[in-house]
Amino acid sequence: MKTKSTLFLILAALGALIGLIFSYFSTADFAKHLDRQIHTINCSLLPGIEETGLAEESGCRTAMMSEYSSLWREKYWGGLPVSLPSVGIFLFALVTALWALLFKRGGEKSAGLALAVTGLITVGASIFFFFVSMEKLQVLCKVCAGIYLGSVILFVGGLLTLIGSFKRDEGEPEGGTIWKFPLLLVQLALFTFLPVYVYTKSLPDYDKYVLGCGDLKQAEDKYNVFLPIKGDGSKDAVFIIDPLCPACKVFHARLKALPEYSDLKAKILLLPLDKECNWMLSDSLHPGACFLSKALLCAKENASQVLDFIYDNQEEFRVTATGDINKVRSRVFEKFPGLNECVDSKQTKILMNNVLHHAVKLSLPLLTPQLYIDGKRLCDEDTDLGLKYALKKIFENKREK
Amino acid sequence: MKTAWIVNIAAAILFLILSLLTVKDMVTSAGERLEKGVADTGDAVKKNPQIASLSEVEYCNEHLKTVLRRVLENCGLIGAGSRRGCQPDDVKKITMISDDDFNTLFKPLSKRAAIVLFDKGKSDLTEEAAKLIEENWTDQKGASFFFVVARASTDGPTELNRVLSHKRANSALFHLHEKFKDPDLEQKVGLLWLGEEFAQLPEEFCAWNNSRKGQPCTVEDINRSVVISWIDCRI
Repeated sequence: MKTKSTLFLILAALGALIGLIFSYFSTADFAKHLDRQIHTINCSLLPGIEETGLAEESGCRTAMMSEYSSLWREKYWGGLPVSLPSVGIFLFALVTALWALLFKRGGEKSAGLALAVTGLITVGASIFFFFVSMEKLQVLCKVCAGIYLGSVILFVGGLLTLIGSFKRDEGEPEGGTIWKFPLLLVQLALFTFLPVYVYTKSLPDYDKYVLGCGDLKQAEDKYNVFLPIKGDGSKDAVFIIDPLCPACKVFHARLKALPEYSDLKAKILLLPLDKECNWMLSDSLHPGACFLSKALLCAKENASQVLDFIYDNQEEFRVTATGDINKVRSRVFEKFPGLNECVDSKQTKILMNNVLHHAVKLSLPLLTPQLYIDGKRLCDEDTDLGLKYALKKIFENKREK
Repeated sequence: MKTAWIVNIAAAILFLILSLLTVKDMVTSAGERLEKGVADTGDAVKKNPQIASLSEVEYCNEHLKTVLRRVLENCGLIGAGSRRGCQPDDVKKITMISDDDFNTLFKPLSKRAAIVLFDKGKSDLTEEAAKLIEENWTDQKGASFFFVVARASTDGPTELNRVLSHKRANSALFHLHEKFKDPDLEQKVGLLWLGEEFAQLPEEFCAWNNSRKGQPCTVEDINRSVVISWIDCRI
C-alpha cells in the first residue's frame, strides 16, 4: 500500500474518531435527560476530561434544548437526537478506515468511496447545523464544533483515499473493484439506523408522567385576576408567571415558536416572587417583580405588549431592580406613559393582592413558570426537551375526554 | 482477499452490537431513574414545592383562633348563617371569655390594626378616618378576615351606646362598600359592635395607630371608636 494511501486512511480514521467521540458525548448528554431531570452536560473540546463551567455550558445547552437537536419530538419524548445517527456513521467510518489500514486496502475503491460518502454526509450535515447554530440559535457549542471538525477531516481523508484508489502506481496490485461498495453501504445503513431503532424501542412510557402533574382547581374569578395575552385558539391556556423570572421568558419564547401555540387561547396569572407584595416569601427572588406585575395588571388588554417589553428588557430590569427600582419604573413609564397613575393606586394594590389570593384558592405551587392547558398542568420536567410530546399528549387527553 | 472481507463483516457486526448495547444502556438507565425518581447520583429528586397559602403569623395561637372561629361562625362570615354582625350580648355568649381576655387577645395586632375615632355621640367618618380605613383595607396581604369592632364610651344610656356603636361599625362597612365595591366584602368583614357593655378599651390603646394622631386621648375617646384590622390567621 502506498504511503500516501496510508496517510489518507489515517486522516480519515482520525476524523472518524474525533467525530465519534464528540457525537457520543452529545448523544450521552441528551440521553441522560430522558429521565426528565436537569443534568450537567459536556461542553468543551475535551469532553469527559475537561470540566465544563456554567457559562460555557450555556451554548451547548441552548443547542441541545433547541428544536434542531432532535427529530420527531411529538412522537418520542425529547425526540430522536440527531447526534445518534452520526455516532453510527462515524463508527462505521472508523471501522472501515481501520480495517483498510490493517489489511492494506488503501487502494480499495469500495473503501475509498464508502469513506468519501460518509465524509460527504457528515460534512453536509455539519454545514447545515453550523448555519442553524449561527443564524437561528446564535451560539456555537463546542461539542458541535468537534463534530464539524471530525466531519471535515473525515471528508478530506475519505476523498483523498478515493482519489488515491484510482491512481495506482505501476506494478501496484489491483485496487479491488467498486462492486464491494454496496456491502459497505448496507453496513453504513445498519450502523446508522439500527441504533435509532434500539433507541426508540428502549424509551420508557412517558404518558403516565406527562399527564400526572395535576389539574387546575376551579375557582370563580370575581376580580378579573387573569390577563388575556392571546385571544384566539381553541384550548384554554393559563400561564403562571413572574415577569422577572428568566425561565418564564425562555419558556414563553419556546412555546411561541411552536405551531401548537396557535391553538392556545392564553391568559396569565401573575405570581411575583417578590416579598414586597407576596406575603408567602421571606426573601425576594425577583425584586421589582411586584411593580412590574402591577404594571401588567394596569395594562389590562394590552398586557401582552407590556409583557413583551418586560421580557425584552428582563436582564437589565433584573439587575436594575435589585439596586434601584426607580430606574425600572422610569423605563416602563417612558414606554407606557398611561400606566403611571394606575400602578401606585389603592385599587391596583388590592387587585395585586386578589391575584395572589386567587393563587391560594387554586392551591398553586409557589414556582414559575407553570402552564395549564384546559386545566391540565404541564409538568415542570416537560418544559424543554419533552415540550412537544407533552403538549401533544395533553391535547389528545382533552380530545379523549 | 476473502479473509479481509470476512474480517470486515465480523468487525462491523461486533462494533454494531457494541454500539447497540451502549445505546440501549443509555436509554434504559435513564428510564430506570425516571421510574425510581432518583438522580444519576442516586439521590431522590422530587421535592414538593411550597403551595400558595394564606398568612399565619406568630400570634395565631389556638386560643385566639378558637375565639375568632366562634365569632366568625356566629356572626355570619363562615357557614350558612344569614345574620350580619354580632352585638354585645352575642359576643359575650359566643366568645365565652372575659372583657380583659378579649382585649388581650387583640393586643398582638398593635402594628396591624388601626383605631378610627369618633366625636361624642357621632358615627360619621372624618376625612382622616376614611383615609385610615382605606389604608388598612388596602394592606390585606395574606389575611382573609377583616375585623371591625365598634365601641361607645360609657357616656349616656346603654341602649343608645349600643345603637351608636352599631352605627359606627356600619359607617366603616359602608365606606368600604362604597370605596372598593368588593363583591366578597360580606365574606371578609367581621362586624362586631360592643356598645359600652363589653370589652371597653383601656387607655393604653391610645398608643395604637389612630385617626387623630397627636391629639389628646382619654379612655372615653378611645372607646368612641372602631378598631379595624386584618387577621393574619388561617381560621
